[in-house]
Amino acid sequence: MLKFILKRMALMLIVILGVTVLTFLIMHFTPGDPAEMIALSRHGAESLTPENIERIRVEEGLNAPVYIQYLKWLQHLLHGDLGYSLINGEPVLSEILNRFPATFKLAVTSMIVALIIAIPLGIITASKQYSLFDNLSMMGAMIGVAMPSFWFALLLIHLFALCLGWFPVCGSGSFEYIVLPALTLGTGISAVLTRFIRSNMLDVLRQDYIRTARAKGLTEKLIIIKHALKNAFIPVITVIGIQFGRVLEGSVIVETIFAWPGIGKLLVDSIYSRDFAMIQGCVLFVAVIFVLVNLFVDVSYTYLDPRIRYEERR
Amino acid sequence: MTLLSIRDLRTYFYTEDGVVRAVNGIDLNLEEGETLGIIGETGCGKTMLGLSILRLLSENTKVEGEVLYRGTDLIRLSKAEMRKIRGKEISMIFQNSLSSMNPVLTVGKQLAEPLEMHQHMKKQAAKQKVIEMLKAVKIPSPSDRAAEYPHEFSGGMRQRAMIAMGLACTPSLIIADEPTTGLDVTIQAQIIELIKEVLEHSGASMLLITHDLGVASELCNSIAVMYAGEIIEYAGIIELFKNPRHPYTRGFFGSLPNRGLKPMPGTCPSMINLPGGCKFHPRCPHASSRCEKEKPDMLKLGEKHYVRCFLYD
Repeated sequence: MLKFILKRMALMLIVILGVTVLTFLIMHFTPGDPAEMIALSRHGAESLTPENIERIRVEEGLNAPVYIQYLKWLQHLLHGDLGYSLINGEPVLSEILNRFPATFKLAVTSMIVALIIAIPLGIITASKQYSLFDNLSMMGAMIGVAMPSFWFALLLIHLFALCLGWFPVCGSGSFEYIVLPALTLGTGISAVLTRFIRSNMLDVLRQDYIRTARAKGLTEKLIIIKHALKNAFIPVITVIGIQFGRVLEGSVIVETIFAWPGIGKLLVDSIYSRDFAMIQGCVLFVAVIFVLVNLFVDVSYTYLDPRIRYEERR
Repeated sequence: MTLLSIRDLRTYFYTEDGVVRAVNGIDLNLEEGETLGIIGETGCGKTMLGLSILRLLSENTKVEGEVLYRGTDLIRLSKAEMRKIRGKEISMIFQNSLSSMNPVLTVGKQLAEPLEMHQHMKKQAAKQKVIEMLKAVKIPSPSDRAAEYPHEFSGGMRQRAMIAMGLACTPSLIIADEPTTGLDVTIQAQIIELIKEVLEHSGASMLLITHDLGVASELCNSIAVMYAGEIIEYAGIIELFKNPRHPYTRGFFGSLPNRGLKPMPGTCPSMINLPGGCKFHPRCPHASSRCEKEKPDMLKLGEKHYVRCFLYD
């Protein structure tokens, strides 16, 4: 088990390195001069003289070749230093850690919303395949998968914030603020999950051991709860993990629409202001979260599926 | 006394390709304490017959006719009443024990289920009984084994556990579907011995579904030969082996290693487009024009010997 985790960690490092190299390159070739942006945000519009910009370029090391810049950044990273925001001079790491709780809160809430909808719906639709309820739910799920989150967010804002006035349009603070963004994210995820749970349940319900359970005279309820669910949920856990990883990285769109002060919003704002250090820090953070969640999912497999546990023991 | 009496049983599946007629009007009687073998090629409908009795088929199936178990027609029972029969009065032992047992539940838990369900045993009592059951089917260190998962058992042991599971509530009828298929020969012999012992001990009747004449000859009192969803010959075990009458039965016996290993030409017909008349006529060496048009009735040849063939008309 430990060997497995260590091996995965090594692979994770390669993935993360790759991600940082790619973002560095993409940022380098993106139009827009970071030195200009720094001058503008730190010293105002009148500081935009060629001399000033050149001075900032040298100060920030932006004149060095891109690989030198990258290696320097990597060197700092190894010392646990993600650098400082080019715009406001704040340490990148503390800025990210400041923003993370908001994203985490939103991620957990929307996951709860998603699971509350998807688990019962997936089970009921599978056990009553092709019923009216099943057809309606699957139609709903199809719409949920196809509907872009920005559009759904606007619909929710229009209905619940503007027309009914139940929840605030955007921002953060008390519980009311989280409802609409969590609903937006949660329903989107639940659409994916419902379909996945349903198809897995259907697959499991056709297995021989379900027939054996019926032959023993068990009730359908017991068959579903005791025999089908655990089997069907082994693959579902992966998808739940991946979806959770996605929202944990901060949903760029939803956080932007609702002005939710999380990682996603931070990332978008940094991209607008060409804050290279902050972008790099955010992307790195997101990548680490993603691979960690994946590792966690793989490890949890071994506890759910006794067949994998057995392989390990041998 | 008659334990199970099947009257004109028909099982149809409605599929996109057409109606699959898996069981086409079967009449059978099973006496108390008797072991009846259903033999036939793969795809002749013998497993479907077993599943139809317990009504374990999927929703797109239609089962017609009567299955009288101690006088009660199982086909007409409600779902809840049927559940009380399954595992308690009639249990089923499946082939392929690996796929037939739940991979994520321990063997002990799976064996305890019928006890908790039908005898309302408490967890602890059921656990104790499971250990006894495993011991009875000669699984070594049963208390440790009960905590293991199916994949940790060998094929033979899993089949033993399946048998123990089928016997949990001491049913009066056991339907065993190819209980020794997929096991190697020595293990097969052990399982046959075990089934013999178990039947003697419990006095239960058994419907043994198999394509293996050797297994059938070891365990059965009488045999029904099935072809294309029909019984085409029925006789006591000794009579059938000494004196097979239907051309199909003869072909079946002729394909045995010790009787020349002569393969029968052709395969079982598709259950969607069954041939008219006698369903065996396209493969039959004695087929006449009558066989193509008319369906032969069951003819009585001896005291317990019936055959569905015009040769004896």
